[in-house]
Amino acid sequence: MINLIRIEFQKLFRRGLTYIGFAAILLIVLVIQVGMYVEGKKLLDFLIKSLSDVFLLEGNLINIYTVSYIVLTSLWIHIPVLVAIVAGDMVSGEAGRGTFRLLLTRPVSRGKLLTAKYITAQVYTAMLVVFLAIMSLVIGRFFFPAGDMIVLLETINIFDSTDVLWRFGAAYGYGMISMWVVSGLAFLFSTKATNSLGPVVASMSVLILFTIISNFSIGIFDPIKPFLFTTYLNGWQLFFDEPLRMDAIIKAITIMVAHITVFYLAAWLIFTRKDIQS
Amino acid sequence: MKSISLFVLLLIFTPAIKAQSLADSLVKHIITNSSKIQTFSADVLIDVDVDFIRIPIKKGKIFFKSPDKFKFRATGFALVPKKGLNFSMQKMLLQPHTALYVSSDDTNHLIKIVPMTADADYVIASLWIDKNLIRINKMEITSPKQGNSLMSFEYGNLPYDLPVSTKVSFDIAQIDIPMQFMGNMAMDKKKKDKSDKTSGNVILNYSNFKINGEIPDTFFDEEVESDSLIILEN
Repeated sequence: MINLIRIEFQKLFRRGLTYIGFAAILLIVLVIQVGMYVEGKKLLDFLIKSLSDVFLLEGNLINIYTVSYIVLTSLWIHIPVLVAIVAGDMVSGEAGRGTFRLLLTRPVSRGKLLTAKYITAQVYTAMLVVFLAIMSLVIGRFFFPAGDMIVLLETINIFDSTDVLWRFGAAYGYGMISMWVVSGLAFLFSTKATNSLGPVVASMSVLILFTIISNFSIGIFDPIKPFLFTTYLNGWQLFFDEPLRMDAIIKAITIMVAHITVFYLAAWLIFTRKDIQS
Repeated sequence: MKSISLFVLLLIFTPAIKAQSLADSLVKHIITNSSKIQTFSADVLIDVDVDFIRIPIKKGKIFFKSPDKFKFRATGFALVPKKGLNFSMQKMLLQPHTALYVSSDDTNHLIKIVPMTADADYVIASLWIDKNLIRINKMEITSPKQGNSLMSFEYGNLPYDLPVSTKVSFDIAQIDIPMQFMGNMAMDKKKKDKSDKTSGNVILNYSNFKINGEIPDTFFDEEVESDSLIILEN
Protein backbone atom coordinates (compact mmCIF):
# COMPACT_ATOMS: atom_id res chain seq x y z
CA MET A 1 0.00 0.00 0.00
CA ILE A 2 2.79 2.45 0.91
CA ASN A 3 4.41 1.70 -2.43
CA LEU A 4 1.12 2.46 -4.20
CA ILE A 5 0.76 5.75 -2.35
CA ARG A 6 4.38 6.64 -3.22
CA ILE A 7 3.68 5.98 -6.89
CA GLU A 8 0.51 8.05 -6.74
CA PHE A 9 2.46 10.93 -5.20
CA GLN A 10 5.08 10.72 -7.94
CA LYS A 11 2.32 10.88 -10.53
CA LEU A 12 0.63 13.72 -8.70
CA PHE A 13 3.68 15.93 -8.46
CA ARG A 14 4.63 15.36 -12.09
CA ARG A 15 1.48 17.20 -13.14
CA GLY A 16 1.44 20.99 -13.38
CA LEU A 17 -2.14 20.99 -12.08
CA THR A 18 -0.87 19.99 -8.64
CA TYR A 19 1.10 23.20 -8.24
CA ILE A 20 -1.80 25.51 -9.13
CA GLY A 21 -3.13 25.30 -5.57
CA PHE A 22 0.18 26.23 -3.98
CA ALA A 23 0.78 29.05 -6.46
CA ALA A 24 -2.73 30.43 -5.93
CA ILE A 25 -2.36 30.36 -2.12
CA LEU A 26 1.05 32.01 -2.34
CA LEU A 27 -0.30 34.77 -4.54
CA ILE A 28 -3.52 35.39 -2.61
CA VAL A 29 -1.79 35.41 0.79
CA LEU A 30 0.84 37.85 -0.46
CA VAL A 31 -1.79 40.14 -1.96
CA ILE A 32 -3.79 40.20 1.29
CA GLN A 33 -0.67 40.74 3.40
CA VAL A 34 0.55 43.62 1.25
CA GLY A 35 -2.96 45.12 1.26
CA MET A 36 -3.20 44.88 5.03
CA TYR A 37 0.31 46.25 5.43
CA VAL A 38 -0.62 49.35 3.44
CA GLU A 39 -4.26 49.94 4.41
CA GLY A 40 -4.92 47.61 7.35
CA LYS A 41 -4.76 50.21 10.10
CA LYS A 42 -7.14 52.54 8.33
CA LEU A 43 -9.59 49.71 7.79
CA LEU A 44 -9.49 48.54 11.39
CA ASP A 45 -9.77 52.10 12.71
CA PHE A 46 -12.97 52.44 10.68
CA LEU A 47 -14.36 49.19 12.07
CA ILE A 48 -13.75 50.00 15.73
CA LYS A 49 -14.30 53.75 15.45
CA SER A 50 -17.24 53.80 17.84
CA LEU A 51 -15.06 52.21 20.52
CA SER A 52 -12.69 55.16 20.38
CA ASP A 53 -15.49 57.47 21.58
CA VAL A 54 -15.42 55.76 24.96
CA PHE A 55 -11.97 54.18 25.13
CA LEU A 56 -8.40 55.12 24.54
CA LEU A 57 -7.13 52.36 22.27
CA GLU A 58 -3.56 51.43 23.03
CA GLY A 59 -1.55 48.92 21.02
CA ASN A 60 -1.35 47.64 17.49
CA LEU A 61 -4.00 45.22 16.32
CA ILE A 62 -2.72 44.96 12.77
CA ASN A 63 -0.27 42.19 13.43
CA ILE A 64 0.59 38.74 12.16
CA TYR A 65 -2.29 37.04 13.97
CA THR A 66 -5.06 39.42 12.92
CA VAL A 67 -3.82 39.34 9.33
CA SER A 68 -3.55 35.53 9.39
CA TYR A 69 -7.13 35.37 10.57
CA ILE A 70 -8.25 37.60 7.70
CA VAL A 71 -6.26 35.44 5.27
CA LEU A 72 -8.05 32.39 6.64
CA THR A 73 -11.51 33.87 6.18
CA SER A 74 -10.70 35.07 2.69
CA LEU A 75 -9.14 31.82 1.53
CA TRP A 76 -11.66 29.45 2.96
CA ILE A 77 -13.90 30.31 0.04
CA HIS A 78 -11.22 29.53 -2.53
CA ILE A 79 -9.44 26.52 -1.06
CA PRO A 80 -12.33 24.10 -1.85
CA VAL A 81 -11.88 24.95 -5.54
CA LEU A 82 -8.15 24.27 -5.37
CA VAL A 83 -8.74 21.02 -3.51
CA ALA A 84 -11.44 19.87 -5.93
CA ILE A 85 -9.22 20.46 -8.97
CA VAL A 86 -6.76 17.82 -7.81
CA ALA A 87 -9.11 15.41 -6.01
CA GLY A 88 -11.54 15.51 -8.92
CA ASP A 89 -8.77 14.46 -11.27
CA MET A 90 -7.42 11.56 -9.20
CA VAL A 91 -9.55 8.81 -10.75
CA SER A 92 -11.21 10.50 -13.70
CA GLY A 93 -7.82 11.72 -14.94
CA GLU A 94 -6.68 8.11 -15.39
CA ALA A 95 -9.92 7.34 -17.22
CA GLY A 96 -9.52 10.40 -19.41
CA ARG A 97 -5.92 9.53 -20.29
CA GLY A 98 -6.92 5.94 -20.97
CA THR A 99 -4.43 4.47 -18.52
CA PHE A 100 -6.83 2.65 -16.21
CA ARG A 101 -7.03 -0.68 -18.01
CA LEU A 102 -3.27 -0.81 -18.22
CA LEU A 103 -2.98 0.12 -14.56
CA LEU A 104 -5.42 -2.56 -13.47
CA THR A 105 -3.52 -5.30 -15.28
CA ARG A 106 -1.01 -4.98 -12.41
CA PRO A 107 -1.52 -7.41 -9.52
CA VAL A 108 -3.24 -4.89 -7.29
CA SER A 109 -6.86 -4.86 -6.23
CA ARG A 110 -9.20 -2.04 -7.26
CA GLY A 111 -9.95 -1.33 -3.62
CA LYS A 112 -6.26 -0.89 -2.80
CA LEU A 113 -5.65 1.29 -5.85
CA LEU A 114 -8.61 3.48 -4.98
CA THR A 115 -7.55 3.75 -1.34
CA ALA A 116 -4.02 4.76 -2.40
CA LYS A 117 -5.45 7.44 -4.66
CA TYR A 118 -7.82 8.59 -1.93
CA ILE A 119 -5.05 8.85 0.66
CA THR A 120 -2.91 10.77 -1.85
CA ALA A 121 -5.73 13.24 -2.51
CA GLN A 122 -6.33 13.76 1.21
CA VAL A 123 -2.61 14.18 1.97
CA TYR A 124 -2.43 16.75 -0.83
CA THR A 125 -5.37 18.57 0.77
CA ALA A 126 -3.59 18.53 4.12
CA MET A 127 -0.46 19.87 2.43
CA LEU A 128 -2.41 22.80 1.00
CA VAL A 129 -3.78 23.68 4.45
CA VAL A 130 -0.32 23.39 6.03
CA PHE A 131 1.11 25.53 3.23
CA LEU A 132 -1.55 28.14 3.96
CA ALA A 133 -0.63 28.06 7.65
CA ILE A 134 3.07 28.48 6.87
CA MET A 135 2.43 31.27 4.40
CA SER A 136 0.19 33.13 6.83
CA LEU A 137 2.01 32.69 10.11
CA VAL A 138 5.65 32.31 9.06
CA ILE A 139 6.05 34.39 5.91
CA GLY A 140 3.71 37.02 7.36
CA ARG A 141 6.27 37.67 10.09
CA PHE A 142 8.36 39.52 7.49
CA PHE A 143 5.54 42.08 7.19
CA PHE A 144 3.95 42.18 10.61
CA PRO A 145 4.95 41.97 14.27
CA ALA A 146 3.31 39.61 16.75
CA GLY A 147 0.65 41.04 19.04
CA ASP A 148 -2.82 40.71 20.44
CA MET A 149 -5.40 39.58 17.94
CA ILE A 150 -8.81 41.05 17.23
CA VAL A 151 -11.64 38.95 15.86
CA LEU A 152 -14.95 40.52 14.92
CA LEU A 153 -17.66 37.90 15.19
CA GLU A 154 -20.94 38.39 17.02
CA THR A 155 -18.77 40.13 19.59
CA ILE A 156 -15.41 41.87 19.48
CA ASN A 157 -12.95 39.28 20.73
CA ILE A 158 -9.46 40.36 21.63
CA PHE A 159 -7.02 37.58 22.40
CA ASP A 160 -3.72 37.86 24.17
CA SER A 161 -0.81 36.99 21.87
CA THR A 162 0.04 34.06 24.16
CA ASP A 163 -3.46 32.65 23.71
CA VAL A 164 -3.50 32.63 19.93
CA LEU A 165 -1.21 29.97 18.48
CA TRP A 166 -3.15 27.00 19.84
CA ARG A 167 -6.32 28.51 18.39
CA PHE A 168 -4.71 28.75 14.98
CA GLY A 169 -3.42 25.17 15.32
CA ALA A 170 -6.90 23.93 16.19
CA ALA A 171 -8.52 26.07 13.44
CA TYR A 172 -6.15 24.71 10.79
CA GLY A 173 -6.79 21.18 12.10
CA TYR A 174 -10.53 21.75 11.84
CA GLY A 175 -10.06 23.35 8.44
CA MET A 176 -8.16 20.30 7.27
CA ILE A 177 -11.09 18.05 8.21
CA SER A 178 -13.56 20.33 6.43
CA MET A 179 -11.39 20.36 3.30
CA TRP A 180 -11.18 16.55 3.45
CA VAL A 181 -14.98 16.56 3.09
CA VAL A 182 -14.73 18.68 -0.08
CA SER A 183 -11.85 16.59 -1.36
CA GLY A 184 -13.80 13.40 -0.59
CA LEU A 185 -16.81 14.73 -2.50
CA ALA A 186 -14.70 15.63 -5.55
CA PHE A 187 -13.02 12.21 -5.32
CA LEU A 188 -16.43 10.52 -5.22
CA PHE A 189 -17.51 12.33 -8.40
CA SER A 190 -14.14 11.48 -9.89
CA THR A 191 -14.91 7.75 -9.66
CA LYS A 192 -18.01 8.24 -11.84
CA ALA A 193 -16.54 10.55 -14.46
CA THR A 194 -14.28 9.97 -17.43
CA ASN A 195 -12.88 13.49 -17.60
CA SER A 196 -11.42 15.82 -14.96
CA LEU A 197 -13.66 18.79 -15.52
CA GLY A 198 -16.90 16.99 -14.64
CA PRO A 199 -16.03 16.14 -11.01
CA VAL A 200 -14.65 19.64 -10.34
CA VAL A 201 -17.78 21.33 -11.71
CA ALA A 202 -20.09 18.83 -9.99
CA SER A 203 -18.44 19.19 -6.59
CA MET A 204 -18.40 22.98 -6.90
CA SER A 205 -22.09 22.95 -7.86
CA VAL A 206 -22.93 20.84 -4.80
CA LEU A 207 -20.80 23.11 -2.63
CA ILE A 208 -22.50 26.28 -3.92
CA LEU A 209 -25.99 24.79 -3.64
CA PHE A 210 -25.44 23.48 -0.11
CA THR A 211 -23.79 26.76 0.94
CA ILE A 212 -26.82 28.71 -0.27
CA ILE A 213 -29.16 26.37 1.62
CA SER A 214 -26.96 26.56 4.75
CA ASN A 215 -27.05 30.35 4.75
CA PHE A 216 -30.64 30.87 3.59
CA SER A 217 -32.84 32.12 6.40
CA ILE A 218 -35.90 30.28 5.16
CA GLY A 219 -37.65 27.92 7.55
CA ILE A 220 -38.19 25.21 4.98
CA PHE A 221 -34.44 24.44 4.91
CA ASP A 222 -33.97 24.45 8.68
CA PRO A 223 -34.49 20.67 9.18
CA ILE A 224 -31.81 19.75 6.65
CA LYS A 225 -29.23 22.42 7.52
CA PRO A 226 -27.69 20.47 10.44
CA PHE A 227 -26.93 17.57 8.08
CA LEU A 228 -25.21 19.57 5.35
CA PHE A 229 -21.43 19.67 5.56
CA THR A 230 -21.43 23.25 4.22
CA THR A 231 -23.08 24.37 7.46
CA TYR A 232 -19.83 23.45 9.23
CA LEU A 233 -17.17 24.59 6.78
CA ASN A 234 -16.75 27.91 8.60
CA GLY A 235 -16.74 26.21 11.98
CA TRP A 236 -13.00 26.80 12.44
CA GLN A 237 -14.08 30.27 13.58
CA LEU A 238 -15.46 28.64 16.71
CA PHE A 239 -11.88 28.43 17.98
CA PHE A 240 -11.80 32.24 17.95
CA ASP A 241 -14.95 32.63 20.01
CA GLU A 242 -15.05 33.11 23.75
CA PRO A 243 -16.09 31.05 25.62
CA LEU A 244 -15.16 28.04 23.51
CA ARG A 245 -18.26 26.04 22.54
CA MET A 246 -16.91 22.51 22.60
CA ASP A 247 -20.33 20.93 22.01
CA ALA A 248 -20.69 22.82 18.72
CA ILE A 249 -17.14 21.89 17.69
CA ILE A 250 -17.60 18.18 18.49
CA LYS A 251 -20.95 18.11 16.66
CA ALA A 252 -19.43 19.77 13.59
CA ILE A 253 -16.43 17.42 13.50
CA THR A 254 -18.66 14.36 13.96
CA ILE A 255 -20.89 15.34 11.05
CA MET A 256 -17.91 16.11 8.81
CA VAL A 257 -16.21 12.80 9.66
CA ALA A 258 -19.49 11.04 8.84
CA HIS A 259 -19.50 12.78 5.45
CA ILE A 260 -15.88 11.80 4.80
CA THR A 261 -16.69 8.16 5.63
CA VAL A 262 -19.84 8.06 3.49
CA PHE A 263 -18.11 9.70 0.51
CA TYR A 264 -15.20 7.24 0.71
CA LEU A 265 -17.47 4.19 1.01
CA ALA A 266 -19.62 5.40 -1.89
CA ALA A 267 -16.50 5.97 -4.02
CA TRP A 268 -15.23 2.51 -3.09
CA LEU A 269 -18.56 0.89 -4.01
CA ILE A 270 -18.77 2.72 -7.33
CA PHE A 271 -15.17 2.06 -8.32
CA THR A 272 -15.04 -1.64 -7.39
CA ARG A 273 -18.21 -2.30 -9.40
CA LYS A 274 -17.39 -0.04 -12.29
CA ASP A 275 -17.08 -1.37 -15.83
CA ILE A 276 -13.81 0.20 -16.90
CA GLN A 277 -13.68 0.65 -20.61
CA SER A 278 -10.68 2.89 -21.05
CA MET B 1 -41.67 96.31 58.15
CA LYS B 2 -38.37 96.75 56.33
CA SER B 3 -36.44 94.96 59.03
CA ILE B 4 -38.89 92.02 58.95
CA SER B 5 -38.45 91.70 55.19
CA LEU B 6 -34.68 91.75 55.60
CA PHE B 7 -34.90 89.11 58.30
CA VAL B 8 -37.05 86.84 56.10
CA LEU B 9 -34.66 87.29 53.17
CA LEU B 10 -31.70 86.46 55.37
CA LEU B 11 -33.58 83.43 56.70
CA ILE B 12 -34.16 82.21 53.13
CA PHE B 13 -30.77 82.92 51.61
CA THR B 14 -28.34 82.30 54.46
CA PRO B 15 -28.43 78.48 54.18
CA ALA B 16 -28.07 78.79 50.38
CA ILE B 17 -25.10 81.11 50.68
CA LYS B 18 -23.59 78.85 53.33
CA ALA B 19 -24.12 75.79 51.15
CA GLN B 20 -22.63 77.56 48.17
CA SER B 21 -19.54 78.53 50.10
CA LEU B 22 -19.28 74.94 51.37
CA ALA B 23 -19.38 73.63 47.77
CA ASP B 24 -16.68 76.08 46.75
CA SER B 25 -14.50 75.24 49.72
CA LEU B 26 -14.87 71.49 49.08
CA VAL B 27 -13.82 71.93 45.45
CA LYS B 28 -10.97 74.19 46.52
CA HIS B 29 -9.82 71.57 49.02
CA ILE B 30 -9.87 68.86 46.37
CA ILE B 31 -7.93 71.03 43.90
CA THR B 32 -5.36 71.80 46.62
CA ASN B 33 -4.96 68.11 47.45
CA SER B 34 -4.73 67.19 43.76
CA SER B 35 -2.09 69.82 43.15
CA LYS B 36 0.17 68.03 45.64
CA ILE B 37 0.53 65.36 42.98
CA GLN B 38 2.70 66.90 40.29
CA THR B 39 3.57 63.63 38.56
CA PHE B 40 2.90 60.00 39.08
CA SER B 41 3.23 56.68 37.37
CA ALA B 42 1.58 53.41 38.29
CA ASP B 43 1.04 49.90 37.04
CA VAL B 44 -2.57 49.21 36.19
CA LEU B 45 -4.68 46.14 35.59
CA ILE B 46 -7.65 46.79 33.32
CA ASP B 47 -10.68 44.55 33.48
CA VAL B 48 -13.21 45.41 30.76
CA ASP B 49 -16.73 44.08 31.16
CA VAL B 50 -18.78 45.13 28.14
CA ASP B 51 -21.49 42.93 26.67
CA PHE B 52 -20.02 42.75 23.16
CA ILE B 53 -16.32 42.92 23.98
CA ARG B 54 -14.28 39.93 25.12
CA ILE B 55 -10.84 40.95 26.27
CA PRO B 56 -8.62 39.44 28.94
CA ILE B 57 -7.43 41.52 31.90
CA LYS B 58 -4.64 43.68 30.51
CA LYS B 59 -1.57 45.08 32.21
CA GLY B 60 -0.43 48.59 31.56
CA LYS B 61 1.39 51.55 32.97
CA ILE B 62 0.06 55.07 33.27
CA PHE B 63 2.00 58.30 33.51
CA PHE B 64 0.59 61.64 34.58
CA LYS B 65 2.02 65.11 34.86
CA SER B 66 0.04 68.03 36.23
CA PRO B 67 -2.15 69.59 35.04
CA ASP B 68 -3.23 67.48 32.08
CA LYS B 69 -0.41 65.43 30.56
CA PHE B 70 -1.24 61.77 30.39
CA LYS B 71 0.23 58.72 28.75
CA PHE B 72 -0.76 55.09 28.81
CA ARG B 73 1.34 52.13 27.77
CA ALA B 74 0.20 48.52 27.69
CA THR B 75 1.67 45.17 26.86
CA GLY B 76 -0.37 44.16 23.84
CA PHE B 77 -3.67 45.85 23.14
CA ALA B 78 -5.72 47.56 25.84
CA LEU B 79 -8.87 49.61 26.17
CA VAL B 80 -8.82 52.38 28.75
CA PRO B 81 -11.99 54.34 29.45
CA LYS B 82 -11.56 58.00 28.54
CA LYS B 83 -13.58 59.06 31.54
CA GLY B 84 -12.62 57.37 34.75
CA LEU B 85 -9.04 58.25 35.23
CA ASN B 86 -9.37 60.50 38.24
CA PHE B 87 -6.92 63.08 36.93
CA SER B 88 -9.41 63.86 34.15
CA MET B 89 -11.46 65.14 37.08
CA GLN B 90 -8.59 67.39 38.16
CA LYS B 91 -8.50 68.92 34.69
CA MET B 92 -12.26 69.37 34.83
CA LEU B 93 -12.13 71.25 38.15
CA LEU B 94 -9.43 73.58 36.91
CA GLN B 95 -11.68 74.80 34.09
CA PRO B 96 -14.17 77.61 34.85
CA HIS B 97 -17.18 76.10 36.57
CA THR B 98 -19.89 76.65 39.15
CA ALA B 99 -20.13 74.27 42.09
CA LEU B 100 -23.59 73.76 43.59
CA TYR B 101 -24.18 72.09 46.91
CA VAL B 102 -27.07 69.62 46.57
CA SER B 103 -27.32 67.44 49.65
CA SER B 104 -25.46 65.10 51.94
CA ASP B 105 -25.84 61.60 53.33
CA ASP B 106 -24.07 59.80 56.19
CA THR B 107 -20.72 59.71 54.44
CA ASN B 108 -20.76 62.09 51.50
CA HIS B 109 -21.52 65.62 50.42
CA LEU B 110 -23.13 65.75 46.99
CA ILE B 111 -22.19 68.67 44.80
CA LYS B 112 -22.88 69.39 41.15
CA ILE B 113 -20.37 70.98 38.84
CA VAL B 114 -21.65 73.00 35.92
CA PRO B 115 -19.09 74.08 33.31
CA MET B 116 -18.93 77.80 32.55
CA THR B 117 -17.21 77.49 29.18
CA ALA B 118 -18.88 76.69 25.90
CA ASP B 119 -16.20 74.23 24.84
CA ALA B 120 -16.32 72.05 27.97
CA ASP B 121 -16.49 68.35 27.13
CA TYR B 122 -19.09 67.65 29.82
CA VAL B 123 -22.56 68.97 30.54
CA ILE B 124 -22.76 68.40 34.27
CA ALA B 125 -20.88 66.42 36.87
CA SER B 126 -21.93 65.14 40.28
CA LEU B 127 -19.33 64.60 42.96
CA TRP B 128 -19.83 62.57 46.12
CA ILE B 129 -17.18 63.95 48.47
CA ASP B 130 -16.19 62.11 51.65
CA LYS B 131 -17.27 64.19 54.64
CA ASN B 132 -14.27 63.32 56.80
CA LEU B 133 -11.43 62.91 54.33
CA ILE B 134 -12.63 65.47 51.74
CA ARG B 135 -11.87 63.31 48.73
CA ILE B 136 -14.06 62.10 45.89
CA ASN B 137 -15.65 58.74 46.51
CA LYS B 138 -17.91 58.76 43.48
CA MET B 139 -18.35 60.92 40.43
CA GLU B 140 -20.93 60.97 37.64
CA ILE B 141 -20.24 62.86 34.44
CA THR B 142 -22.71 63.56 31.69
CA SER B 143 -21.11 64.43 28.40
CA PRO B 144 -22.68 65.08 25.00
CA LYS B 145 -20.60 62.42 23.22
CA GLN B 146 -20.38 59.64 25.78
CA GLY B 147 -23.58 59.94 27.79
CA ASN B 148 -23.28 59.10 31.47
CA SER B 149 -20.17 57.75 33.16
CA LEU B 150 -20.20 56.80 36.81
CA MET B 151 -16.89 56.36 38.60
CA SER B 152 -16.37 54.86 42.05
CA PHE B 153 -12.99 55.28 43.70
CA GLU B 154 -11.37 53.13 46.36
CA TYR B 155 -8.37 54.46 48.23
CA GLY B 156 -5.53 52.60 49.88
CA ASN B 157 -2.97 53.85 52.34
CA LEU B 158 -1.26 56.31 50.03
CA PRO B 159 -0.34 59.70 51.49
CA TYR B 160 -2.05 61.32 48.49
CA ASP B 161 -5.63 61.19 47.26
CA LEU B 162 -4.94 58.67 44.54
CA PRO B 163 -7.32 55.74 44.20
CA VAL B 164 -5.96 52.21 44.12
CA SER B 165 -9.08 51.01 42.36
CA THR B 166 -11.55 52.75 40.08
CA LYS B 167 -14.76 51.27 38.75
CA VAL B 168 -16.13 53.05 35.71
CA SER B 169 -19.66 52.36 34.52
CA PHE B 170 -20.80 53.88 31.26
CA ASP B 171 -23.25 53.67 28.39
CA ILE B 172 -21.90 52.43 25.12
CA ALA B 173 -23.56 52.12 21.74
CA GLN B 174 -23.85 48.62 20.31
CA ILE B 175 -21.43 48.23 17.46
CA ASP B 176 -22.78 46.88 14.23
CA ILE B 177 -19.87 44.75 13.11
CA PRO B 178 -19.55 44.47 9.34
CA MET B 179 -19.32 40.70 9.12
CA GLN B 180 -18.06 40.64 5.55
CA PHE B 181 -14.75 42.02 6.75
CA MET B 182 -13.78 39.10 8.90
CA GLY B 183 -16.20 36.40 7.89
CA ASN B 184 -19.31 35.26 9.65
CA MET B 185 -20.30 32.06 11.34
CA ALA B 186 -23.23 30.57 9.53
CA MET B 187 -23.53 27.80 12.08
CA ASP B 188 -25.08 28.03 15.50
CA LYS B 189 -25.55 31.80 15.67
CA LYS B 190 -26.02 33.32 19.08
CA LYS B 191 -29.00 35.55 19.67
CA LYS B 192 -28.09 39.22 19.44
CA ASP B 193 -29.50 41.89 21.67
CA LYS B 194 -31.12 44.41 19.39
CA SER B 195 -31.02 47.34 21.83
CA ASP B 196 -28.95 50.32 20.66
CA LYS B 197 -27.20 50.99 23.95
CA THR B 198 -25.70 48.77 26.53
CA SER B 199 -23.88 49.47 29.74
CA GLY B 200 -20.31 48.56 30.43
CA ASN B 201 -17.97 48.44 33.38
CA VAL B 202 -14.23 48.78 33.56
CA ILE B 203 -12.28 48.17 36.74
CA LEU B 204 -8.85 49.73 36.97
CA ASN B 205 -6.60 48.43 39.75
CA TYR B 206 -3.47 50.48 40.34
CA SER B 207 -0.28 49.44 42.06
CA ASN B 208 3.39 50.32 42.26
CA PHE B 209 2.81 54.08 42.45
CA LYS B 210 5.72 56.42 41.91
CA ILE B 211 4.54 59.86 42.94
CA ASN B 212 6.18 63.21 42.19
CA GLY B 213 9.15 61.74 40.37
CA GLU B 214 10.84 63.37 37.40
CA ILE B 215 8.95 62.86 34.15
CA PRO B 216 10.15 65.12 31.35
CA ASP B 217 7.50 66.85 29.22
CA THR B 218 9.03 65.34 26.10
CA PHE B 219 8.02 61.91 27.35
CA PHE B 220 4.37 62.81 26.79
CA ASP B 221 4.96 64.30 23.37
CA GLU B 222 7.23 61.72 21.81
CA GLU B 223 6.94 58.04 21.16
CA VAL B 224 9.30 57.23 24.03
CA GLU B 225 9.13 53.66 25.27
CA SER B 226 7.97 53.61 28.88
CA ASP B 227 10.54 50.92 29.68
CA SER B 228 13.32 53.34 28.86
CA LEU B 229 12.02 55.91 31.34
CA ILE B 230 13.40 55.87 34.85
CA ILE B 231 11.27 57.80 37.31
CA LEU B 232 13.12 59.19 40.28
CA GLU B 233 10.93 59.48 43.33
CA ASN B 234 11.27 62.59 45.43
